[in-house]
Amino acid sequence: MERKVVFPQKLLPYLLLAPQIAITLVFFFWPAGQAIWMSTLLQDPFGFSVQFVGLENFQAVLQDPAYLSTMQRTFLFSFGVTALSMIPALLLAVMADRVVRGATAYKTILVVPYAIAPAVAGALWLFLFQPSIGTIAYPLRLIGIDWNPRIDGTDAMIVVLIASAWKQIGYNFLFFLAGLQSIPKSLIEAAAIDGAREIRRFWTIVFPLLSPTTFFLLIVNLTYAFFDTFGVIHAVTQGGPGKSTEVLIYKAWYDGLIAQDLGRSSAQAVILMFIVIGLTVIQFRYIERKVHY
Amino acid sequence: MAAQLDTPMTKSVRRDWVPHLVIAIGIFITAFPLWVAFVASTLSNPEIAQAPMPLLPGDRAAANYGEALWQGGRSGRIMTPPVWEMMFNSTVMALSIAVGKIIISILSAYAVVFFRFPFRMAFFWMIFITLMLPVEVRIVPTIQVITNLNMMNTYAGLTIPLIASATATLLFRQFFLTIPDELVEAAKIDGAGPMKFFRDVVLPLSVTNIAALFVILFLYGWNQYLWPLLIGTDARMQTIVIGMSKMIDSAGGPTDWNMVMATAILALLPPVLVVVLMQRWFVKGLVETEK
Amino acid sequence: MHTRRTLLAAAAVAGLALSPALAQQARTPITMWIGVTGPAQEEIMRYAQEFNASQTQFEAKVEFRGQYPEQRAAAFAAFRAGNPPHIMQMFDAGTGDMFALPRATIPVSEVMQRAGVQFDPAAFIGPARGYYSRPDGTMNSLPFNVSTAVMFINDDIFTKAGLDPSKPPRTWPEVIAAANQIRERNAAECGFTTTWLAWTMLEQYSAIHDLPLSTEANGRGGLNAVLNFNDAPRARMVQTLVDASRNKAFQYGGRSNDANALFVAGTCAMLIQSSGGHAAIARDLKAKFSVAPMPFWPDVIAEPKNSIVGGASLWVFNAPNRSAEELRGVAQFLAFLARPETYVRFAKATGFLPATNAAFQAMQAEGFFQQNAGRDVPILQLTRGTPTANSAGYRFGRWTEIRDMYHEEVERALQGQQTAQAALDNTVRRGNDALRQFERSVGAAN
Repeated sequence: MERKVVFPQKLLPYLLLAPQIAITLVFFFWPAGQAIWMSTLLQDPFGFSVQFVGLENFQAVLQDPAYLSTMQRTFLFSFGVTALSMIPALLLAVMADRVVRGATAYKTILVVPYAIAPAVAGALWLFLFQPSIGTIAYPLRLIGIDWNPRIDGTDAMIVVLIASAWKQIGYNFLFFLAGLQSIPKSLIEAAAIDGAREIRRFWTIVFPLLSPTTFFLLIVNLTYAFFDTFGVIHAVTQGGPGKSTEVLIYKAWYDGLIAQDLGRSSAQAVILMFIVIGLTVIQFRYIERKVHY
Repeated sequence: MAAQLDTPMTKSVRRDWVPHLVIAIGIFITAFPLWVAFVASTLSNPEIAQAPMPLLPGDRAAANYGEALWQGGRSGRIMTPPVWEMMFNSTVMALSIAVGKIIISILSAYAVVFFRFPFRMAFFWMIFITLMLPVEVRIVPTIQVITNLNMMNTYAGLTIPLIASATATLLFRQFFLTIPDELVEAAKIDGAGPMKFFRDVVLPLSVTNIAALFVILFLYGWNQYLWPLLIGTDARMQTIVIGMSKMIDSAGGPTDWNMVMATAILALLPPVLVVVLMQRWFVKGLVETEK
Repeated sequence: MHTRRTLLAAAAVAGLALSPALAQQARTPITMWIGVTGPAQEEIMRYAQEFNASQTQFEAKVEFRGQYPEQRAAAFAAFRAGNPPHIMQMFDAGTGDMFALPRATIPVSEVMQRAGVQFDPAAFIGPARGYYSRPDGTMNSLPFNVSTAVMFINDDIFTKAGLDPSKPPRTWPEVIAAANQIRERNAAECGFTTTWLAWTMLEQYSAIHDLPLSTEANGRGGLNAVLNFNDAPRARMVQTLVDASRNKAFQYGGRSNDANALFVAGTCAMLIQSSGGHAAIARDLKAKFSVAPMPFWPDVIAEPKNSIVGGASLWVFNAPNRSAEELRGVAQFLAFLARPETYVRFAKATGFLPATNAAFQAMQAEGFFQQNAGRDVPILQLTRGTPTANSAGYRFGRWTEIRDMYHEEVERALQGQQTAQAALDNTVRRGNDALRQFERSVGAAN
């Protein structure tokens, strides 16, 4: 889309664009370019010796069993967070869609966790799950579950999963509800007259019509689980115990910053770049369709 | 879900209570962690430690919040600065990022939409591509760049690099494309220059969009984690979210949970208030920025 | 309106943060980055003020830029940007990285010599001198906060469990027996715990049992050292922790300093901890406590060797734009910090050890150790016997990361996911990968 009528000035648009372009070049393109360049180098932390090693860092990273298991864990975690935040949200949205009164108040309350920083959400749930004192851990202990996310990797994973998903439910709820409300009621009533039972009506009529929303939320939540949950993991488990909650972003941060392994950390950064590009392309191809609707 | 939807009850009865029950459960799950955190922030540590912890507020609210705000977690493993200092840092960050992003995005969107000039689309794509380069994919080089520019542990370093925004630019571009050509024609006939047109026509028309963006960007800025972790290593530059996470004892030893929870409440209150008080703009912002 | 005013305020604040302190132009500034918090940080800040008041040419600026690893990342980036701090406090595990890249720093001996400041490496206690010196005796960095690992004992819990706190357990079998008795009599929730797991259970443990961590004299002989600590005595230590954690005779307390909290809260009866934590324990623990040497296995070694130093030392960065004047200031500030009276004050205030013999003797002379029972345990443990190749310290690149590999693998053993032997095998395998990578990366640098 283009405007037909525009202003004739030649210099002004460059001035208007200058701040944005300057920041983009200095703080996005320069470091991103550096990351790509560094991923092909072997260097010491001070940069005295810089050896070009081609794709060796990528080879090393992709052959490292620790990296591969972290990648597998990251995908499981991301799909776990996505499922755990979307399914309850859909259920709540279907219910709220039927409620005539109070829907706005419900919306206001349900969306509150979305405003909370992931690390803070992590702290709230960690507190509930503190062994011996946590309000949820205490009854677990009473029924004989020796709950301790500090020592048990599965317990730790459950805490970061729940905290990460909890934060997103309200957001998904808003979009599902908007999607449901945009479905013409006449369609559903027509099916009801045909005698289709409620559950069948949902799966055969409502859910397919919701699929653009579902797909969009799937991508948004995967992106969130992939990138924005760094705060939860850094604040709550530090990737441990063992490596049981280490995800790709955490590993890239650790290898680059703590271990000072610049080449392999940069190779991981480039791999992550491909993942973001993939997710963005999918998202925008979909958006294009939605815009033409 | 299936079982609930498929119960052989009469439709009217089900309509009455099932949705309300399900939503009540949803609200309980949403509110319960917040309530427990609030209660813990009003108790003493021994009261928290005697499991099960009481679920009604205690009498130490003023003492706990006072200690957190003015003294910080000095008793703990790591000294954190007083929470008010960290809240100040977070406020500077959130407001500078929100306002900065809005300003530079609206200007660049205006340039891209209302002018024709060489490399116009090249610039537009440059801005677009930043979507694919979040901090997470350039951690190490970013520290180097910020260090080279002498911006480590400064407010400039904490904010300026984050104010470039593809989403805000795209949103304004989308909106500017809907402004009728007649308005531009009329302005030209009146002899109004582009900046006058921007000030008198475009800006007033954009107020709703700006408000919606502001809410979303305030949350974005306030809730930053990786960026301040990398750039604000000095305790004086710590944001409240980072400060709170440093108060948690990662061994499960006796963390001062009442302090952590008081700080957590203070960390979540501003963004939650912004969302609740600006609800209308918030929902609009969410829907628009995700387009 | 409101937002605009706040933005202006923010911009003003940002401007302030960026503008240099114009008032102090006359003095040559000397920047030092430190990575400690709490009492140690307050002390160092105070010494800088005193240094500044003592002369008019230089101004020492001590800055806290995050804890050790964060600070190190920041300092390396600053070095690459050509503008590192003059002095940096580097933790023990980072020592090997610094030794491997001598071009980045100027040895303290040389800084002092160039500035004509009297400096004698022999003044420092042996283990600290050995840890931070080159084979030719040149001291690379200035030992500052020197510590070693010792065992703290909660006397009240011992008495409650029917144990005699005046006869603390000396060997591991005695520690385990005492911990079991404490658990059986329910005198405490846990028997013993440890901070800095790899430092205490691998590094200190290997030194006092005279066991090598690697070939090439624990890395002091060259970058081609190969880790080989996956043997039976080291595996037995890990297995002991795994077994003892079943009845909470041992409770795992995390990778860093966090287990300290378990001890001061009275949850655990014994704590293996840096001697630098003494002051904090004295301040926070609401019970009587005593200090004992690190336990040992009598069937591995009859007479345990000296333990090794931990803590941190001060390094002087080399940078292209350093003037002779600045280096003179660095030398004077370091000499100020290295005076016996400063070390004595620092040791008293924090629990770190006096780094020079003179400082140790001064504390002895004023009867400090008689009045403060247990404060001499770490220094006696550090200096006992004749050091061997295995107890003279180690020097590895990327040791920070290798420590975490040990933590991760032992944590997996504690979860029952692998055996103690497998944990050490995996640590050694992954650690050697990192060492080879490091060797290659610095190979062409020097």
